[in-house]
Amino acid sequence: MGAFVVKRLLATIPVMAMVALVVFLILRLSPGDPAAILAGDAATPENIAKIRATLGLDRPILVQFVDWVWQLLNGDLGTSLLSLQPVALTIGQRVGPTVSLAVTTIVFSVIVAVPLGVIAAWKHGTWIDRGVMGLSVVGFSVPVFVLGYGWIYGLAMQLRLFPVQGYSSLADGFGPFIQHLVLPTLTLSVIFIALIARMTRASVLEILTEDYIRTAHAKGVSEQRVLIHHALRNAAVPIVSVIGIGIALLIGGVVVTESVFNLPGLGRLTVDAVLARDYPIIQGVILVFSAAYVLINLMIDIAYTVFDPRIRY
Amino acid sequence: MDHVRRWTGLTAALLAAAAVLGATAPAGAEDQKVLKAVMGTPARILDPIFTTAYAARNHGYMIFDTLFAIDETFVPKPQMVKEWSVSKDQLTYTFTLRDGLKWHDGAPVTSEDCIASIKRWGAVDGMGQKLMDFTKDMVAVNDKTFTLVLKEPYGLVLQSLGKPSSNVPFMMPKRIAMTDAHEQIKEQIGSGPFKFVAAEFQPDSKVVYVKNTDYVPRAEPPSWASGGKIVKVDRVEHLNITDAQTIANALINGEIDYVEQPAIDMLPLLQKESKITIFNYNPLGFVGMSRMNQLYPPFNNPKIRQAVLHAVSQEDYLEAQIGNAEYFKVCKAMFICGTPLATDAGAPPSKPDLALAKKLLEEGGYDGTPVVVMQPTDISILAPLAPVTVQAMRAIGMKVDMQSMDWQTLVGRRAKQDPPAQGGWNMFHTTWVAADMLTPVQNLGVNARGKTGGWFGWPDDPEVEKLRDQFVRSTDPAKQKEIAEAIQVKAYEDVMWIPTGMYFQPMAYRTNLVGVLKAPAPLFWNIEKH
Repeated sequence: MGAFVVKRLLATIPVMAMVALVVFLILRLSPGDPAAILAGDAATPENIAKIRATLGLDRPILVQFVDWVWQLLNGDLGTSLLSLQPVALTIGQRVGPTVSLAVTTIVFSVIVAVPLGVIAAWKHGTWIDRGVMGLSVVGFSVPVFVLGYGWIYGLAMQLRLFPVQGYSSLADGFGPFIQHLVLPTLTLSVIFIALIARMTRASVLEILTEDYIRTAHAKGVSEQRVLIHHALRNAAVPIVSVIGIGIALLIGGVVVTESVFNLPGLGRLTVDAVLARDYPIIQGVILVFSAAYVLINLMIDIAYTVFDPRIRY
Repeated sequence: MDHVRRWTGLTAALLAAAAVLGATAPAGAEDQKVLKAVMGTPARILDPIFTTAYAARNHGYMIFDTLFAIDETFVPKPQMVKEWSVSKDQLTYTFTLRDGLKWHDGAPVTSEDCIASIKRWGAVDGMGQKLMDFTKDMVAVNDKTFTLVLKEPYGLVLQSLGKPSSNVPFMMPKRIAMTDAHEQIKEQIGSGPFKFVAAEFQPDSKVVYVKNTDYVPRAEPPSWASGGKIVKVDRVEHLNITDAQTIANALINGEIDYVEQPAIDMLPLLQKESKITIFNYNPLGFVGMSRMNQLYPPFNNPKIRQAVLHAVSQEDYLEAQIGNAEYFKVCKAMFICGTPLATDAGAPPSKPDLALAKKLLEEGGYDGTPVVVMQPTDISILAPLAPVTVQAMRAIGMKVDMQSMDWQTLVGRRAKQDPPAQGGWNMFHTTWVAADMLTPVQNLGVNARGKTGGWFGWPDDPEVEKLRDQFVRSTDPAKQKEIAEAIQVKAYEDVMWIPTGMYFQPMAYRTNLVGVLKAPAPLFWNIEKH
């Protein structure tokens, strides 16, 4: 296992190098000029040209790339062209809301979806099964922003139970922290509950037809024990895969939810940086995303061995 | 069934617990008066001289101060300056600073600081550059007095130093003001009524200011950015919320106090709320501009530019852009309606004249060259302008290639002087804070310096430049008005730009705020929070 983990971690190096090269080239070859954005609407072309020169953006792309790689090798993600803030600091400021939302969403989704999926499989063909699957389809179909506005209208504007928007760091108290995360978590969870519930149902349903389940029943093992210890555990591998993909998606792309609830997370940082052509921020964020994806996949692979001891690396 | 009930019950319990946790959690620092303001554009560039971005200007008004400031009657009033005089030959201005002016690091404000600040501003700002062209020297007489010596009389010295919008000549400590004007400053030390809190700065998300307790305000009542800057809250947070509906909801729920630019279509919703005030803080408003590239066909031909001028109507633009007559106004004055230089001289009639436009097109020998119109789709106030012009141009028989893009792509592309077929362009639209357009010096639309020194579109007209020079040399307001009128007539004749109309962007704030000021920029002094 140790060798496997080391091998996988070493494999991240060429992956990230490739990501770095591709991102750098795409940014430099796409339209838009950070100098023009920096100078503002009333700036003259002369001012823009001078700013471009000051930032070194008029140098050959290869020279700029070598400079950036050298910075990276020295552990420096660079500095934002616009705010002059170090990229690492900017990303650090935005990681909190994104990770918090990802964790609460996944935890809540798993708590709700896995039992729903198991019950649907157990009662397959009944109205309970049809009800759970019907709700899953609805969960997939309703756009995130519609759900978000719906929760805001009901729970924030009418009942005044939660704030409409914003993020409160854990350092400012657990109460405000969780209170600000409830509505975005409910919003994002719906689609993940639908996804995980369907996957759980399908996996458990398949397992329930296995001979060892029939044997367990014949031995008089309780229904609950059969479902949880025999069926769910053996159905866990595909469910864990879906949960892992969910975490990766949540870390990288919840821009709509972040916008509707005004969460200053990584999704909005990426979009704002792209719109402002803030190259160092975009490059830094994408490198962090790629590293996170690689690590999440590694954790999923390790988790397989926990649920299925037959899997060995 | 029991399972379902159990889970439903658990979920409800979790929700209730979260609500209670939040409700009972310490709100923190209740004794502080905190004003939470959602700004129109997020502040991420913090140097108001380096950039003309309005977000940086707004930041500038928080932490920096100015030597002069224009009041609501367009008269420049001393701000950091205690007294000033001008020599009989109109060549030497002497300024003495007020007592008690201090930078946020505790150092006193000196003449040397002000001279360095004026020079840095004069290196990039159009009005500042003009002033520097006429300036022979600036000399510190002592720590609190300095002189500005002109090469020849210049009629806009005080108006320049009190320029209300980008770039505002903000004063900075000399060590900061010595930074190259094309490089951003790295310290946020001003002498203004608020201090910047660097530790809480989150670009694009949150900028925090606290009251500068060392600030000595003037005794006069505030009028625009002039007069006493008395801060009545402890802390101001400039926030960025991107979603218009979320902004409205947060304001209604009292989570924020102030919205600089609520979406126009959210105003009816906000107007229904008894605890929200809608306030037109910027009486000069904003003005739209259609700009043609005069370097390449077909718009290198004045007849074809005139054809477009006569094909469009301000009402069409304003209906598409704003859609509510309460918030817009047809205005032909290039130097802004309701201001001292306002005139309709040279302007075409309000209604489009398609027959005349077609005739002008024919006289201009339009050969069917497609017109590349850049349309920004990501800024709601700008997006409707290009389609209106495109429709009008097609109506008179022009071929149009409207290319949609995000604003930042447009900003990068409009700086290119290449032919349209090689990545250049023929036309774009933008809007301005009207305070940026008040005189022929500030108004970049009538800058006629051409490819070198001109603004995007690059009209080249020595006659207009001569008139602009005459304008700044004149010290007589009546003569200035006459020259401005002549410039406008020429600008319409050359179609240097097409004004697409004036609109007003009111702000919205909770009724527990009192003392919000009218000004061409959002100002945060004088506001009390009850």
